[in-house]
Amino acid sequence: MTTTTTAARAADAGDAPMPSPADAPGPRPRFTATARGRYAVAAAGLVLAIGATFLLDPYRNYLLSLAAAYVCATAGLTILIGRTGQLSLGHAAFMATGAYGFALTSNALAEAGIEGPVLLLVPFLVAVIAATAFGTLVGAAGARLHGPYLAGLTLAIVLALPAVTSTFSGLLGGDQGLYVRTERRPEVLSAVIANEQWQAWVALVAAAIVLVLLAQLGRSPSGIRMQAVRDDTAAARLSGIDPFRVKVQAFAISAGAAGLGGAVLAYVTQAASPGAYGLSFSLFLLVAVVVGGTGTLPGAVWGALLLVLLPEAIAAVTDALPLPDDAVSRLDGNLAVLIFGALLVVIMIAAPRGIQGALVALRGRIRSRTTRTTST
Amino acid sequence: MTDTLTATARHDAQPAALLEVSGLVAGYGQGEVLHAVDLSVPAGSVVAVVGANGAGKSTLLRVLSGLLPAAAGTVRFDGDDLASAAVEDRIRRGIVHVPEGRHAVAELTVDENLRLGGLWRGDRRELRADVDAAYDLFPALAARRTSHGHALSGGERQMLAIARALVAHPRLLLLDEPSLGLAPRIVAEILGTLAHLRAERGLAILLVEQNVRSALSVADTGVVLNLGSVVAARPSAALLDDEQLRHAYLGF
Amino acid sequence: MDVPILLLAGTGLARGAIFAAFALALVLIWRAARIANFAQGAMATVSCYVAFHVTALTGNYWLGLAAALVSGAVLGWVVERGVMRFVDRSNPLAAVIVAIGLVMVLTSTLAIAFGADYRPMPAPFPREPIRIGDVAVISPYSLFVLAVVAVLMLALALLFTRTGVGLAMRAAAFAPEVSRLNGVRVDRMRTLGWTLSAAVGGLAALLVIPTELGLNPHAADLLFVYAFTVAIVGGLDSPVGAVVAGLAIGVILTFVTAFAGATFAPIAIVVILLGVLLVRPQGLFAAREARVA
Ligand SMILES: Nc1ncnc2c1ncn2[C@@H]1O[C@H](COP(=O)(O)OP(=O)(O)OP(=O)(O)O)[C@@H](O)[C@H]1O
Ligand SMILES: [Mg+2]
Repeated sequence: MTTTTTAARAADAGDAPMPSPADAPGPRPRFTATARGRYAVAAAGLVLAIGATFLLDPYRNYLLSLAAAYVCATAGLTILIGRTGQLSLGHAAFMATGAYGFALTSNALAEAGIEGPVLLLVPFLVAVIAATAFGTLVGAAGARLHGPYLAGLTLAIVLALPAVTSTFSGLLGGDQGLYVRTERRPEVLSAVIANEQWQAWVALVAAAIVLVLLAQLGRSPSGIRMQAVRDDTAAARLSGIDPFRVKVQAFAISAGAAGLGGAVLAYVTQAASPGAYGLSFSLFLLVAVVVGGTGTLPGAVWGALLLVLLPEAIAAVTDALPLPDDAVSRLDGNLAVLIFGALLVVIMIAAPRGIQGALVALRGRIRSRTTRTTST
Repeated sequence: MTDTLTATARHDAQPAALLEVSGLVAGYGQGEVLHAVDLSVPAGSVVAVVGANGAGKSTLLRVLSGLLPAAAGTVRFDGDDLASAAVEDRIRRGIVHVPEGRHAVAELTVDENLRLGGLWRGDRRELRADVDAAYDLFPALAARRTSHGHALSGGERQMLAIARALVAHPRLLLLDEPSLGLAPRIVAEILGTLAHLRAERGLAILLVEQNVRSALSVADTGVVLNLGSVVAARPSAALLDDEQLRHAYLGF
Repeated sequence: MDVPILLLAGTGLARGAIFAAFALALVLIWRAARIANFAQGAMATVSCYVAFHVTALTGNYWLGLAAALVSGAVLGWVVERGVMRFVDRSNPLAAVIVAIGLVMVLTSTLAIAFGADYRPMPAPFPREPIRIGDVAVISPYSLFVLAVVAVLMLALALLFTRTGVGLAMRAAAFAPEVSRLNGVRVDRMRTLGWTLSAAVGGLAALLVIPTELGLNPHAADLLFVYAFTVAIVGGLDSPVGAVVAGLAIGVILTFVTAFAGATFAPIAIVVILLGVLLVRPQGLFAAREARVA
């Protein structure tokens, strides 16, 4: 239970500075109105979340790291789907690009005897650049396509991933993938905190950076252009916007965010393998986005938490039930897919605004009730 | 304004009209377009609905064919309440709507478009005969039977839409501006054909027209619709003679 | 190495015929409901499991084949009536996302019920090629596949061009409102489109599985991607495009597999897709509007 609440608090802190398109017209707390204010709140949230890591055991810190890595990817994906109407089923492939970019760079640097901040930061940078470049290519191919066609293209890419890693198995390690040598926690900290906690810090910082940058993007002219293209491509073109460019840009940014998420996963798990970025995982990212609330950054956080917590909960339940081993091994993984799939269908049909939509509606109701009671 | 025709019909205790509309209210979303419209079309008669642009003529036909739900009021056809009849069921009862704007299916050939009108009867041989009869009525279509809808001229599409409606064996034909964009000669031809069908099959027609004079010249009754309300319903000749009404609502 | 060009071409055509049939199933739904059915692979896999068990129980391949068709049809009906009908049509992505949810539900249910192992799927005819002299020509199974798909295409063509139902289905797809005014029950035609499409998809998957690793909850994932590529190249709106592009891609992939190994096929597909989209975004056939926003 502690996990849930602390993780949720961590997410809450990250959530505060983010604009959510869903509640745009309503009154907004003053302190989020400026970019500097958003940075301040993000920093405060980050500090809170980092503080929370002291309360968690190493395994839970590991889970928190996973959630933070997923946030990078779901935040990128939710902006892509919600803001530009481009549906990608292949964001796991961009995460994989980031993970492999990170792994190759980190291993090469470690091989060369380089340590310290360079070994920590450069691989992340390379990962983001690689994923962004790949995203630009796919985005350029897909920008002329609308919904179902683009989804098909990205689906093909994610299904081709194992073929890529086994075709270039000399470099990418085939089905086994790569072991990643990473920079461990700084010497001064090693007496104070476990490595998992340090990794959680790195992951939280990465997630915070992605959230702040994407929140800025949403408010910027670029973000507005994206929405214009989604709503009416022809009208956007008439007002001087180049839809092709806007879509490719969005795709590249979104892929870059996913790449950072993949790099964080590689850093935390010290591995990059094709099995970790398969079709199911790619679809999980979509589930997270939709269930959280498409197009909203807080929703991306809720979704990422769900991706981490629901399988944990399912495993706890199946372990507790007196099931034969055979059944347990069949349920393992598959039950989560079943539940996520059912959630996706139900949410899409019954509550397309997802968790964040429900929260906003709830907040609106509470607020209107309090104003009514105060005015009387 | 009293509906003199129906009133007299009721007093004479004649059988109820084929179509009986009363208190009909309808609109799009919040906007109410038709306000308590009363109307009746006796079997085998032609009723012309005339009125300015935006008066609600097309809306009235859309409600009658079920494309638009009525907010209030009743529509009785042949004595039955149509409230629960879906669009695709009304053709089975004999109500056939030819909407404004020449709805030939662009991707289908002329022949397929015509067959579409009688598919619901499920009788292949009879359908073939009906389609051939339609070609006899509109020889221009016979020459184009394998052309696709998108390759037809505006007039050909209008003929196709009307011919398709006839293939459906209507008892009541709802015609929305059949003359729009057609040469006067073709309009005359179509109206002649309809008059013939009326005499032969007892076909009733509810005709919406911009061209008031020609509409009233073929209609038994004229109904003037203004801003969604019926302001007059009289024999055509009486309407044409009422100078005040003509000036106020029909603009001539 | 002596390359059996003839054999590869025949095998490729047979494979392409399956892609074409599966792509045709996609086209059927697209035309009936304007939905790209991403769940078609998973639905077809369910049909194949039914066929597998019917064949295993009765020892008769043909009963299995019939079961695949029937179960496909039933599944198509259930999916349309039970799920797709409730999807918000104003959001173009909603149907795709719901279909993805169905994929997850169906594949995981199969995996829970039957495990994830590959099961060998029986073929009704030998897969070893017939030889004329020293030259391997074509396998009886490939001939069987080509014949089945040819019959299927002919049946569909007759249905759509020669029957009243086919005419009603086409009219409902192109002009729903006019069709309703003409008494066509558009909803039913849509359901029928799903039913027909799912049956065709199940049949296509049943034909392809003996040539692959075997039956598995994800057995049709790649088939779906290949068929979708066919649809991108040929156009979701065009049955003829689906057939031509299907055959071409089947042959290409078979040659790629022969020369570069089976693992390379999915990469080749991505390369073809990226290439077609970057160089000729309107696709190799017309119907540009169908793809472009
Ligand atoms: N689909 C629609 N949605 C909203 N309002 C509509 C719609 N169609 C028509 N209206 C409105 O309903 C009113 C009546 O329209 P209608 O088409 O029935 O007029 P009409 O008498 O047929 O005119 P016209 O002679 O120009 O064809 C108009 O004010 C019109 O703006
Ligand atoms: Mg009108």
